[in-house]
Amino acid sequence: MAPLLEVRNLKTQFKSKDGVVKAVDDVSFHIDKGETLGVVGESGSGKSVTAMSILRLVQNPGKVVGGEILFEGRDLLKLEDRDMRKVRGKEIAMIFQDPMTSLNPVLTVGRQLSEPLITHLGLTKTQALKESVDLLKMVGIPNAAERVRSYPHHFSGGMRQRVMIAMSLACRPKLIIADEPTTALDVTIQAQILELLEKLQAETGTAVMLITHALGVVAGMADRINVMYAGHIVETATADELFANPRHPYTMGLLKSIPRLDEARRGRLEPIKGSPPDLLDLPKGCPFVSRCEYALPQAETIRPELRQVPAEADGGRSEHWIACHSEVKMGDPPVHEAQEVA
Amino acid sequence: MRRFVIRRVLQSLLLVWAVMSLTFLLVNIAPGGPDVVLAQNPKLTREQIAAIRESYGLNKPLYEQYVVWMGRIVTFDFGRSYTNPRQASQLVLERIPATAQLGLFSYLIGMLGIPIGIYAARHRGKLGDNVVRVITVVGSCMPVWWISLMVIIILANTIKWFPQGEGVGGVGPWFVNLVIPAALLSTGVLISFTRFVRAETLEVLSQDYVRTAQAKGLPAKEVNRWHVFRNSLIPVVTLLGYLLPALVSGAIITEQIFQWPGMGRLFYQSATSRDMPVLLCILYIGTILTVIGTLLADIGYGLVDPRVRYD
Repeated sequence: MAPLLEVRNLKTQFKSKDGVVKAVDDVSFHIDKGETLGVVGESGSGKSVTAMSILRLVQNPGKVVGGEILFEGRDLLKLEDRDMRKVRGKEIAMIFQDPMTSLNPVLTVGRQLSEPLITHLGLTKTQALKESVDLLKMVGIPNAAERVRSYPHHFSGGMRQRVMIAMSLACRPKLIIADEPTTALDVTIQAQILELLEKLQAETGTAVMLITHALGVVAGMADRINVMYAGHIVETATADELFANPRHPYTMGLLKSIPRLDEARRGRLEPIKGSPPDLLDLPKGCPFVSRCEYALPQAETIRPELRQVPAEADGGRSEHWIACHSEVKMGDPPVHEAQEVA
Repeated sequence: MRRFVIRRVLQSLLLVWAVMSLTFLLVNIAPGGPDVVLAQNPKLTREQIAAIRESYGLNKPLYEQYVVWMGRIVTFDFGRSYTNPRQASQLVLERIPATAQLGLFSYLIGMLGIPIGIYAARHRGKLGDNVVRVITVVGSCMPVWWISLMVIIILANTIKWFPQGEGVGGVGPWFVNLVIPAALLSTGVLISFTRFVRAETLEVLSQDYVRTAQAKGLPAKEVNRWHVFRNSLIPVVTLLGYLLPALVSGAIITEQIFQWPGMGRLFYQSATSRDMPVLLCILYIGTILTVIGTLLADIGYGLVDPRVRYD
């Protein structure tokens, strides 16, 4: 069966006066129907730009310069603006990072929930408002019938994110892109929001692309995980496989730098040394080479392509790809010290 | 809301009283005054001057004058003009229609700044925006009286399109005579609106909620109307109120230059001839207008922005 969304060789670049920033560089991945894909990476790794590229909402001076984004077989990049608008909110909806600023402060919540219903489903104002009440109930907002008349500033951060989720679900989209939906919330609220997302996903069967910089967030929720670094996907595997058998040195570094409650204390957490490369001036070879403790000599000059490696978890049936020349595993002794990055 | 309005109206009354008291004091301690004007007239004897002073109540101590004056201005009675046997308030009231005409017209022209500002913001960095930006910067650097004089010289003397001096009857000349002073009087307001709206719109365009609206798949018209302008025009409501009195104060210069028979020109004449009752009467109207403008701005802000709370 064809995947719901297939991104092929996506390239999104930002022109600046210092040069071209290759925010997303030759990224390919897919999302199946009803699946949850986690996208992990640090700030500037291209996660959000990938999401905005899918919805074609990359702001100037950014531009998608190459690739295909096939949604149910149609290339979104080739759609007329009018047809693209019918995809946004209806087929693919988005939840943003900061619920405090993502809602219009001067329109009632009910009105903002109604908008996509009126635009995409042709509901009348009254019908849309009634549906909005149901949506608010669905995301667990008490007194929904009254709350539709409230303004965003009457809601707390967590409640506003619930409103955002309700809004994204309004037209029953086939894919929801959640761009760091819990980053701006405190930890207990984070857990609530993730639980809610998971519950609603199970009920509605939509696919979710969950973007985050926190591995912990995707661990419980994602079916598969893409690890991004400097505009590239460096590793992709099922969640179980990735946590059990990370193969890219960057992923290993990420895992070593988060505390684990399910294992005995290993002593100090190990940070990844150095900092990400300048996107204006990417190295010729592997973008991670200067921070890598396992880098082979050819990594300096040859950019590693994604290649399949044998999976260990899931009985070895799942796919596991990495973009690395080395054949190292978690726990292998470093080949050399990571280079110092200026 | 009702309590807020009542409280603000009471505050406003207090403010008018304070401003008028201060103005009265300033006008009376300023050098000159009616004595000088009267003394300059060689035909008047000492006794005549004393009689005149008495008839205006100027021989009483200042605090007594103040109490009497305060009691009278409540009923809009400013006493007789020093230069005209008629009541000061009457002289001023006669002039209001002319000034109101000019003011309203220039206010309307000034509001063109709203669409111009929106246009500039939406075409940021492009030719249209740059033209607007250069004109507003240059325009705000040049004093209105200077621009006015240049326009008169060019229009009346160089290309002889428009008559110089006061207008004659008929709708055509009335329009011509109104449009140019009004346009010039509006430059300040026009530039303020343009720059303000441009900056606000740019600010709102970069807000997350505009991105949310786009991600919902709303048509551009909806996004602009309900998510961009609905937010960027909120501060304009404030500006609308605050700029109201500027039209009267600006009219002092413009009316003088264009010999427009309004309150502004009367103010200038009264100031030069030290006609205190007329001067104070016009300042009173200006004060009230300022206070009303601010009050309307405060109330209007609350009506358009649900985040504003009255308590």
